[in-house]
Amino acid sequence: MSDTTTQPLLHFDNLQVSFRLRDRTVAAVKGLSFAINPGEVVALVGESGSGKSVSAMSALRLLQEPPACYPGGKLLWYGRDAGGEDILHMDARRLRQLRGGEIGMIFQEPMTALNPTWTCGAQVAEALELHTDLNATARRARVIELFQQVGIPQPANRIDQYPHELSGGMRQRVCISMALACAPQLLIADEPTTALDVTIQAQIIALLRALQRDRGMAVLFITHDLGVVAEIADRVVLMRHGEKVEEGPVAEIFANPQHAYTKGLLACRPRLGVRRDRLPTVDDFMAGNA
Amino acid sequence: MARFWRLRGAKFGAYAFVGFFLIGAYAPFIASETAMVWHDQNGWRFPLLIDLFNAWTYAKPHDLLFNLVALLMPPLLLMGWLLRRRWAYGRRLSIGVSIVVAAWILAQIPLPNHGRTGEWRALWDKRQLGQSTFSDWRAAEAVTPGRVSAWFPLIPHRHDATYAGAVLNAPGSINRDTGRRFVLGTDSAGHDVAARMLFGARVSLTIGLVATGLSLLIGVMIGAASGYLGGKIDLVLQRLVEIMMCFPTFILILTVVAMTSRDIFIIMLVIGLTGWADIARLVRGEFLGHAQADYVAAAQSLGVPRWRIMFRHILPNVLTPLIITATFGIAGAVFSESALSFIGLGDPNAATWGGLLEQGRQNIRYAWLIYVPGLAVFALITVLNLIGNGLREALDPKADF
Repeated sequence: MSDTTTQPLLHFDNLQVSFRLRDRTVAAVKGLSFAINPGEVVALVGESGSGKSVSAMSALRLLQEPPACYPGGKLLWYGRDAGGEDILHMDARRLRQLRGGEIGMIFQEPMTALNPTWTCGAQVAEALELHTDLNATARRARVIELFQQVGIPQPANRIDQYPHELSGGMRQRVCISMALACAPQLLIADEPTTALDVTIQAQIIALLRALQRDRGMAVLFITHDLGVVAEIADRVVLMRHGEKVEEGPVAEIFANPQHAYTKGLLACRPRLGVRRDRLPTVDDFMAGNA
Repeated sequence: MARFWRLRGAKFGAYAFVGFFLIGAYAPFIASETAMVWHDQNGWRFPLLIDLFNAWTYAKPHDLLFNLVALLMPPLLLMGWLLRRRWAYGRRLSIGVSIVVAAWILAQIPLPNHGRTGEWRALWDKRQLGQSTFSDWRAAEAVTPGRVSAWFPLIPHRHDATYAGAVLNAPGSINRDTGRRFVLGTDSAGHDVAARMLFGARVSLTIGLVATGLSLLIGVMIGAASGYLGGKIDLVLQRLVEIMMCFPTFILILTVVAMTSRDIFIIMLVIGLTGWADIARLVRGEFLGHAQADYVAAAQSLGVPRWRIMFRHILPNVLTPLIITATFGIAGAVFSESALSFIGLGDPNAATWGGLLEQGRQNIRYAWLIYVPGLAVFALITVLNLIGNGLREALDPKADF
């Protein structure tokens, strides 16, 4: 799907993210470069602390500044302006339009990502209120429609229920409908299936894949689950210690990993029918003793 | 809230508070010189209803407000009860209010005059009352016995009238002008203590609600900005809070009241303006915790503006401890005002419990001036504390373990 002739949608251009602590500065992302093309699903993969979530959060400038700061690099957004706007230099007003309106985001933990004092419908309707001209009645109708699209049964009843009345999978569906309410061009999914059990995971991934195809939107999918990557992604970007390790189409990465770290990561997965006392860790591979 | 109603003290407190409120709202129907119903050769009249909105009789704005509440409450409650099955609470309330407003507008339309003024027209015209007081009735009775029948409030004395011959009369003594008893005696100016106690409830409740409302408003603003925005704003606002906390609040109130006016509304304002520091602290702490919550990040990722995240997303999650603090705050404000009046810095023109207490302090032999208002202050503060404790227990998520 990646077509070199088309313009990318979001271009991470040597992005650097640091956190200024009281006595030192920690570099979380040390020059990350890759592009997301329109309609493409890119998986950002890496172990804990590799900087994948921080990179994704910085695409919406959701990190609290300070302590977060951007010592270098650019985040070029081509969603509206063919010349590209640097997200790192957007003013607050433009940033609010971008958030929710042009880039949507789904979070890891559906249990806490919904406000317990608001009904589910009201939370989705708020996105519409902020980014569209629809009146209250039209918003309600649109929310019911969205709930249908994300596969929530009896949407007209669910709309007035509070988050605690829904199951985890249903809540993640509400979160997805919230992120998709204003038809964003890019969806950032920050480990959307990690907190769900396996059957629900499969449902949510199928849903995301279907929505992505229907709407032709780009998805930045952050995960450490290589099984999920194989199912959903067109292209994979591998990160470690705040740097990009390898990038390529998903089939190629799985079939023919180039970097030692990628090989290690792939070898760490348990395999059906192969009995081993202990699975090798990435560190074993990096040290060359596996 | 089911848990709240299971707590015996809290339940008692809630009912007692409603009782205080009803006593305050219906004070003119319990203690007034004006007849509720007056019947003579000209027909029926309801002078008290007209008098309720007479700015001469009730000079303070909070009195007019309580009178309005007293008048509107029965029709609104009746409306709510009649429509309870058919409509949601909000819609019932709006229907009730709109009916009352419509009635008011209809009453403004001039009707053809058939020789005598319609009573409802007169109610809004604030026409002169004519004969309607207890002494009017006695005078009429002396001339033509049995011609006039009138129904008066239980205590036919006004809270702001001074009865010349009755200074510091003991409870149960007789008013020589009217022949009726001063149930709780009179004070050093010749006011009826019972009537003054009833209207004092209005003052105490108003002070509690207005002062606490003001503290809440300021405290929530400052606490929210401090906790959510953080950084330099937090630094500056927290120093402000610390400065406020360093002052002994009561001395500060004393100073300000001594320098400005002794009007009851200035006192409310001052109590409110000095009481926000604790609330700001509490709100800041709560906001600090919630600012990191996932639902706040989710709201941010939708492009929700900061002020909206603060007041529409986080504030509802912080309401529980705020409500509890507010209940205790009301008790504190009532106590502050009583204490101010007690040392002679209260509003000399308002009928307050503290004002009566101060007279009791000056005239130590007249015990009813101490016991009656003292017990009332004690009761109201106890009731508020019972409610606050009940709320705290009922809303504490850890209470089950």
